[in-house]
Amino acid sequence: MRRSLPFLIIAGVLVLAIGAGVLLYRYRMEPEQPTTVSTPVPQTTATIPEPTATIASEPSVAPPATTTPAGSTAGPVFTYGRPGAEPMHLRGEPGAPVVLEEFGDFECLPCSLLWPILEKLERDYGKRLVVVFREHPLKMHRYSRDAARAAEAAGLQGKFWEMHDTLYRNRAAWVTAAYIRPYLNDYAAELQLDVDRFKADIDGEEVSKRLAADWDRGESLAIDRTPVVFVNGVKLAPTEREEPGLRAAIDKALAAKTSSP
Amino acid sequence: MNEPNSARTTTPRGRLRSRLYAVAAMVALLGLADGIYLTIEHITGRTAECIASSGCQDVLSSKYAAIGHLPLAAVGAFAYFTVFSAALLAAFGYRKCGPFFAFVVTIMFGMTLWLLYLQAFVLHAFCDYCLFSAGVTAVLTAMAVATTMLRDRS
Repeated sequence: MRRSLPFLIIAGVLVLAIGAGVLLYRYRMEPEQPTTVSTPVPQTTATIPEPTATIASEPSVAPPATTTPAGSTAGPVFTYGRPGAEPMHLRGEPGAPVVLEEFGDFECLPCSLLWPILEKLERDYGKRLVVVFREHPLKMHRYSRDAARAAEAAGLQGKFWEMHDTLYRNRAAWVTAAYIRPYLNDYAAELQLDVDRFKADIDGEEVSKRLAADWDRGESLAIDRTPVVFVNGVKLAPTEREEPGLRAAIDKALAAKTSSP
Repeated sequence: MNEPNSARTTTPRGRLRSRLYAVAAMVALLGLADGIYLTIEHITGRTAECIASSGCQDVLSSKYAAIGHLPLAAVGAFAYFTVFSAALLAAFGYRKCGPFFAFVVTIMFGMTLWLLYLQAFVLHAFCDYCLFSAGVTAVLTAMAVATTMLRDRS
């Protein structure tokens, strides 16, 4: 009995460990009430701005390109890091003195916590702030690439930000789903996208190129987590990612802008 | 598997060593629980909230939190289970399990130092659960050293 006792204990602990893991998993995966997408309330829609937007006299953000492809979104041109996807996704006034660039992952919880804060800041700062979103879906997440592809596919129909908001708003539902695609298709339908085109685009080459370009920019800036936020080219520390820290960074950037000749 | 050696556990040093192994097995269970919790949080797309510090989200959503699609916490949980098994068998007098316990703990200690370096100097953020795991590994390392010293002197 003594000889087999340790093996019995080990087997018991193994069973307990697996059982505890399964229980915790099931508890965490309990389906939540599916939230339907109400009419999205865009704060400032990512409309196609005029290519005359300028971010002048900022050391790290150069004036924008004066020529952009037809139908593209002109915005600030970043002089740090490799270029990301063009046209970039921006929300707010393209010529705003403060450019907040976020590298985000829709499955990442901290990113979803940052989302309402940024919305609030966009409302509060109005034309003084423009927010740029870069896709940085981390490989460790199960659905982050699908979600990023969905946002980009929606973007091809001019509704990137609506899908962006929908994904964050409903994150708790799709992140624990057995299959994400039905959720994404539902969101596309609720956003009144051309669902057939959305289904084709989501696996399409254009979306792949955009994701690769944003990822490449992230790599050039040594992005090793999400979210990462830059304010006028200054990378914020994780501790500055809460609302007070973000406000301080934006205010500082505004002050630098107004004090510069 | 080597046979248990009851003669070695009847000397005072042998008994002390056996007790240390038994305690080490229990300590490893704490690390196992921590690893299982973080693994489930990871695969369900959640990020554990810190209790004492504020960096859990940064650490657990960083690219260092997984090897490919395999959560690092799952590797940790497996390592703790291995340590638990080795320590328990060593406590029951299985001689070769003692050195194996020390070997695995040494690797874990090295890994822990690397992860602490990442948190301190790369991510600039600390995670409670990771620090707890580091503490558990440190205790296990101390026990591995103690049991090795007891064996050398006996």
